Amino acid sequence: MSGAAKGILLVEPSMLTGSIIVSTARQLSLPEVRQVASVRTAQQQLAQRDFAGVIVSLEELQEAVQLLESVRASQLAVASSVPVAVTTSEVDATTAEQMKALRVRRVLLKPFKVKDVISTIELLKKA
Amino acid sequence: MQEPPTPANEDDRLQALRQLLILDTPPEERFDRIVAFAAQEFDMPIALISLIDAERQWFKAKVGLDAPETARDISFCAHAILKDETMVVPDTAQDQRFADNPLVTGGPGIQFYAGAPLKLPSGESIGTLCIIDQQPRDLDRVDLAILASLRDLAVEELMRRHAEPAPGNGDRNP
Repeated sequence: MSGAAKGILLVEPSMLTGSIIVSTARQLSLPEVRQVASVRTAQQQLAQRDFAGVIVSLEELQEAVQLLESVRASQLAVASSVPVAVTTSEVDATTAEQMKALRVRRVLLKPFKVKDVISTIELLKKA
Repeated sequence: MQEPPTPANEDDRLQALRQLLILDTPPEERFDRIVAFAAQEFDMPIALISLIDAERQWFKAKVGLDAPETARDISFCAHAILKDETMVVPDTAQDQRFADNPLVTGGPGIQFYAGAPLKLPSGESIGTLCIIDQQPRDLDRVDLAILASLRDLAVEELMRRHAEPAPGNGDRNP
């Protein structure tokens, strides 16, 4: 499957925000966005199939970091090199270092705009 | 000022609107959150879910406006329901339909308007999700897609309300 045909996995606890992102991506003919509300559900998705990109909320920080470590360690079905972006309310120095080590390409600070997520999806698609 | 033309399907449109049983109902969080989201996403001081009744536009949800309704003949949204696409007026001062509209020359001083029609599955446009600014603006293709997504969500909520049985009619378990 080519990168263009694979979807984007979005871990976003807000159903309203997630549904607007999914719908807007569809209208713009971007890769299909699959929204899940928790890291646990994201892990199940990433264990089953590959994605063109992953956008993870750091609301569940420890779980999210562990998930990305599993991805980079090739422990899941998704490619270990999959481009990743994160959303978070704040970034301290420790978290910033962790994100750098996990090769996170973009950090979106909350409250972010849907438009910023769309540009992030376009970035991940090109990666 | 150009008064909004009456849609060809006006009778069906009004019937579809009234069958929703939503006019003059209290505010609801599920609609309020859509206009709040729109105002925040687009940095707009005003966002509305406006329903076009026979002689007025009535606001089911609103941010940045106190009035519950305005006359239809000065309504921007009554123009927007005439087409399926989002109507964008980047600068009302440059648009002869609206330049001397009282909503432009007086309060709330509309300079920018974008309204996405709320088209029901049966085909009638009953109102809009609209965003308004007091300075000229424009929207790009991503903005238009986001506004359309919010509009689609508003239509889903309108239809969900319509599909649900009214409380107390015996269709629900106690």
